[in-house]
Amino acid sequence: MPAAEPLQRAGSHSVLSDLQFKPHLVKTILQEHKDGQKRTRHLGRRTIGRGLQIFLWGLRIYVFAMLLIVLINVFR
Amino acid sequence: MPEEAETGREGNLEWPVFRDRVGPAGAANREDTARALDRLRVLRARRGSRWLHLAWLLIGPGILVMLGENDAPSMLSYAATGSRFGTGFFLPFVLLTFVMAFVAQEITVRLGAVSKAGHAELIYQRFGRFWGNLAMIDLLFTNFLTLVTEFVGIVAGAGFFGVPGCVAVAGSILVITGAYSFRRYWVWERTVLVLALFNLVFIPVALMSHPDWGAVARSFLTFGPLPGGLNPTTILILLSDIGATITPWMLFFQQSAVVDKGLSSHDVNQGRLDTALGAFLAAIAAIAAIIATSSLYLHHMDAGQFGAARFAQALVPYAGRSGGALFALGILEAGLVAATTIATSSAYAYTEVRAQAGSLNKSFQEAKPFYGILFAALLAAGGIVALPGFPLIYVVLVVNVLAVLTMPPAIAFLLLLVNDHEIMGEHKNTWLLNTMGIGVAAFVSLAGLLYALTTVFPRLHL
Repeated sequence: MPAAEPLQRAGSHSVLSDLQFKPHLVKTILQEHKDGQKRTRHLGRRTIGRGLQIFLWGLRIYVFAMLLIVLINVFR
Repeated sequence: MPEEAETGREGNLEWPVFRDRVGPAGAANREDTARALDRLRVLRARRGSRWLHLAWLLIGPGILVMLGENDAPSMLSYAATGSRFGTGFFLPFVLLTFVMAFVAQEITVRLGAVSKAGHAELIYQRFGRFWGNLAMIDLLFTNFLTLVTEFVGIVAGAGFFGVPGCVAVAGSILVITGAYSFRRYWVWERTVLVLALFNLVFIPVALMSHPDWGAVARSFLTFGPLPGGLNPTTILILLSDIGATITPWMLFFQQSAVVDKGLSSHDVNQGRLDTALGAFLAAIAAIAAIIATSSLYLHHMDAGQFGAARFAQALVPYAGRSGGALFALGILEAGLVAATTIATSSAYAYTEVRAQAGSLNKSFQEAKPFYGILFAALLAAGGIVALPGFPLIYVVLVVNVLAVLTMPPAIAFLLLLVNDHEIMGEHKNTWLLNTMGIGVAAFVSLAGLLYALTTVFPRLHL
């Protein structure tokens, strides 16, 4: 499907196709959205300290143990 | 033309960079235009101080997620609760679980509106591939099992009206496909919202079963009675009712839907309203289901004999044929709505972490992996339900329990992300919201531990 497919075909109002041919307006309206996405995508990985790592592993062990318990319960 | 994504790289981290494409005639791309139109309407409503219109434009993800979680296994869990315990402890308890669901889901609104990234994407970016993969495995595993139970509900509900199982599965997939065929988030959201509001059909069923309203009021005031006390069966039902309200897919779905809808940080209050309204409506429907089936408890019907739509048949003597039919329709609708929201949640999460295009504003050609995962999950789950001899009853029994047991890590990531100043800035959690969030996490974890204790020590009576 071409990127510039008229939007009326998607069952929308004619204002959609008007807007589609105003890319600068679209860009302006979505500026905050795009900026937010860009900012988030450039954040990088956070530091996972020893305490946090132990905490996350503890929760993972909790999940595995609980899955085992569910299996025991089902087979019973 | 398929969406083409380049990959940005910084150290070990990869992120998708979608080209700012314009069409051959200088037109903006379809997804951006659709979202821009939605934003334009919001901006105009806000500028004109048309607050009701603004609320109408911005509601959606919250109501969908809450009514979507009132899915087939959840409604069957509430039915089992009513038929086994009547009105009593569980009515206020279910209300409490929806308050907790609101606390967790409100965080996803802020996360999505501020970061413009889905939940899975944020976990991968901030915690790396290892923890991201584990969260993803939890999500996809529980989502698939839940999806299977949605089709069990669809087949059971349709069975009340004599519709064969394979016809019910095929028909429901057709309806769901119809909602996606508009290739527009807004239209999909409104279509599913209309379907989701049908969840309120449990209210007339409750009225038709002529409940003792005095007993209903007393149960809210006293948190009782709880026949049999806290034995292993009660704890299983307790856990199942928690799992009927708070599950990992809800976190992933609402955050991704908030991003796909294009909510901004200025819309957080409307997002909260949407979530609160969803929690309120879903709580009313859940409580109505318990009240409706409490007539079975009062008439000493053995709840153990009911599976799926047999609840509807069992209700006929007390709520009438139309009451039973409405109950069966409610289960069918619950399965249908949840099948679309849960499959969408899997597709969002999968494409977010694979840095592929995933939006309901895209066509199938533009977002093949997104729709591919979505329909593959639907077809596989529907196919399993049609398999003769598949132990569906075990899946139905454990699906809500599994949802609760995989919840603590999901809430932990949620709280870590919402307290991440680099992501949230001024919108990060306050100490009060953190206390409430930690309270929900502790409650869910303790419920899981209680379940483990009663499984390992079956004679335990608390």
